[in-house]
Amino acid sequence: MPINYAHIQNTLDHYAELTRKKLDEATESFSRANAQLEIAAQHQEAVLNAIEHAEAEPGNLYTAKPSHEALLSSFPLPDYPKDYTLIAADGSQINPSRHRALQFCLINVGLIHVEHGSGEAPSQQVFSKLLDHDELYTNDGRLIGEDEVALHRDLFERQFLMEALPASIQKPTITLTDGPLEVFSGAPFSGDRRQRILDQKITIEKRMKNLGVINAGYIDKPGAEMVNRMLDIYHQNRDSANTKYDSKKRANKGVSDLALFQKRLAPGERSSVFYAINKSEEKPEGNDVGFFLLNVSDELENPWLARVEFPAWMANDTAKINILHAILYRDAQVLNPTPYPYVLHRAHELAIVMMAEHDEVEEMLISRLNRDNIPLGTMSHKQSLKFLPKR
Amino acid sequence: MKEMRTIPIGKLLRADNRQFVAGCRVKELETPALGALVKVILQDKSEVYGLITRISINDDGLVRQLASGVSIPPEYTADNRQNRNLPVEIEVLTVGFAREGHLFHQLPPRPPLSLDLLYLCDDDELVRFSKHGKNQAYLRHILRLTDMPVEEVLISHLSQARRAHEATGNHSWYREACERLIILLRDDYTRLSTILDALSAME
Repeated sequence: MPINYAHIQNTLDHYAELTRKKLDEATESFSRANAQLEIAAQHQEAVLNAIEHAEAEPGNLYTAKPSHEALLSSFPLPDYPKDYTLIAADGSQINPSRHRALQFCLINVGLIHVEHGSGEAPSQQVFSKLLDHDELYTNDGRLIGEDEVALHRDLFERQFLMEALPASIQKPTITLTDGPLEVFSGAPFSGDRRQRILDQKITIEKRMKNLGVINAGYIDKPGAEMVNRMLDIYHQNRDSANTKYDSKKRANKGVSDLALFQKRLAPGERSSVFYAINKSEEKPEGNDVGFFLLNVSDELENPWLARVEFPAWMANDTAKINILHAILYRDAQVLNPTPYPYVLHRAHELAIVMMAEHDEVEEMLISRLNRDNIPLGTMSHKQSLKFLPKR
Repeated sequence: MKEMRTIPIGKLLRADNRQFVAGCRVKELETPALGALVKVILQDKSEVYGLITRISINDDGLVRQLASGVSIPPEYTADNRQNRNLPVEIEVLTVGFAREGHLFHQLPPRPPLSLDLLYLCDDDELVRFSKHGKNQAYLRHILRLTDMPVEEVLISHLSQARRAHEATGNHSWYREACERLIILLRDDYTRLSTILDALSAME
């Protein structure tokens, strides 16, 4: 059945009214948060203490924490190095579905490796991996879902990035992925499997650190409210020190970091460095990522912010931060007027799995199993009916 | 037997008896030129000859986006030319065929098939093909072109063929080709004068 447009038409006025109301509330919230930010900038030490106090409390916390750089300072675009290496990876996947005749999961990772300054075309590779059967089910026997598949995909991206690195590096080298650097958010693995994945993640991070590689995550149009939450923690703490932070009492909800900084950063400028605190009961040590906000636009009137994440150990290394700042701006500017790192777009282009390819992989697997007379499951009736020719 | 020095430059995308289109990658584009003699070798070992009449380079959304950007590192220009799947299309006008060692300046009985390899003919083969029959009968195919700049295709082809013939000591081939064109266009003075003007510019 098509959409009942008459029903939607009848709600349009109400929808517009609610949108206006939300917008007014957001404007007020923004004004308050912006004023709080100005105040917090005058008391950076107190902000830091408030966050560290909240960090020490048990429970979940997702917030920004100031670094050694002044909260509201902005940093102009540094020069980019003449020669540097930029390697990006992006993944896509076929999620397993209990409705299909065969349950399988495929991770496809596209990798592009550019030697800037060489004039040579980048090298590109695609890695396709079928998850083993024991990885396809959770410890309690449930077929893994999107979060678990995303974790495998993110780990594969980093694994292939690490494998693409030379034994030693002679020039600035950046490895880049799309999205937050922390792969362990949301996936409900536990026990041995969790430990195995965690070990793998630590091995990759250690190797990159030892090589001096700048490993970064790029978040386009970031929606997170980490700085806003930092302000809230500070203000709750200021009003009643030594009390536990209560996220339910959050004021100024809906004000993103992007909103707070987009008028404060000129084209090419970055914000000060923050730490991203992301802790939970499963992950009590939540202090391993730093970030800055970067205006990748070249037009004063049209700022476009990205959040750039990097390992926390880099936060005090100004030389590396400058290289990351300069190179990401340059790479994003290649795709002006919609700036976004060229290498990430190309890695995505390499990785993307189309529906036809999904069906072909399934056909390959079924044919192989048929050859050995291995019995298959059946497609659910719901899925069969979806495959009926459409009107 | 003399070794064939033909260079594969692409694979066939589509064809009919009168013309065909081949795709090649940008990095393979250094050798073919407008008016060059090319051929496809069919499964039965017969060969279909043609002249390149158009070379077109396709784009996509990313290329258009890059074109509107401020500056592109040379590595990314090379990436788009060498790595990305954007074939150059080479359109070829069929001008003859060869079967069992015999050349014909006629359309072949059947067209080549998709994914057949397209080869660029060397100077020896160009001389052999263009002097066959002594009256350059294949030129009539070029004059049939309607949506191409006939003069430009002719100039490009005749200059390549003239150079190849003169390298063998044959200085009369080009004059004979011009005389042949005059005969073929004797009833179309306007077109003849346009072509002769274009050819005189080549001198």
